[in-house]
Amino acid sequence: MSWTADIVLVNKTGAAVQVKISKGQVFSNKKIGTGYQNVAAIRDYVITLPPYVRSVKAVEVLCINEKLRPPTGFLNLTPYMISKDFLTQKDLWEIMSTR
Amino acid sequence: MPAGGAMVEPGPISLNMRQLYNLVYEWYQYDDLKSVSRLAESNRIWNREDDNIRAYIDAVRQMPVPGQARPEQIFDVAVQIRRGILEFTCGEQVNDQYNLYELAEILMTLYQQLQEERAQQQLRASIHDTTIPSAEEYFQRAALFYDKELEDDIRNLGSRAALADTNWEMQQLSPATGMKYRDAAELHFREINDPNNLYMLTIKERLSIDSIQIKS
Repeated sequence: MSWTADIVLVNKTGAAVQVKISKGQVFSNKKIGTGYQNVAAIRDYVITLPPYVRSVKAVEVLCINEKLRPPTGFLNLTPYMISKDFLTQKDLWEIMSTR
Repeated sequence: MPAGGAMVEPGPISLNMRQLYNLVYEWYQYDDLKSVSRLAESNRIWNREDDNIRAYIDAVRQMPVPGQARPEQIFDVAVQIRRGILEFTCGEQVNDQYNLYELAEILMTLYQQLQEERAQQQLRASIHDTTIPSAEEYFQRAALFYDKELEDDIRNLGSRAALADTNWEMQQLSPATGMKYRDAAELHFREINDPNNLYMLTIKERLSIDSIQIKS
């Protein structure tokens, strides 16, 4: 099952900006140890944001942490993506459980 | 339960409950059972027995002292104010901000939050590895181990929780290794270097992120 994260973005420049969100990009809980899942984008997204525009982008995400509870609340964006390709939730959990 | 110790009571909620309960307790001390006359008058008007007076006096006298009151005891008092023997006093003003009814409602809400926190603690403990002294200690150390990772809640950037939680989960899958904090690569995270990536654009302040929220 996938979830949706709403990202509210603002282009702070006077020019259009092309924005990429990578497949597998990781979104983190704001607090360590809440017991809730962290998540990763299910596919690539490319958005073009006009100058000074505020926009909401819905991003489909999958859960990273199989043992934790379903994701909830506000998240932070990380500079990381999942290092291997995946198609389904099962794929992703298999990658994450590999040692 | 975390290994090696009793469950830690989540602090801030318990503290809030005690502070607010103190207002309730002090009101009943101040009232000094004077409200009993109103209850007696009400009984007379409605032709009721006076056995509720004894129950009211007992409830007030048995109220726990705020400094020693457990959340469960505070919750019980709040329930009595909302829909029990203390209910007839619920409209009494405690201070400029609250009457007893409002305080009882807040206390009941806080108690529910406390129960949710306890459930979360138990969930964390249920996947707890005995090689880690306690869940609390694991996450405290994790916060230090991953402190080199940027964490900026105002800009909605940060990865410490994702790393710590994912490491926590991997720790459960390999208890024999003892406690270990893995770096991002070991946790199957790869750094993104694309200059057009949302993270990079936000770092460069060409974009800002107002919020990221899981849609319920």
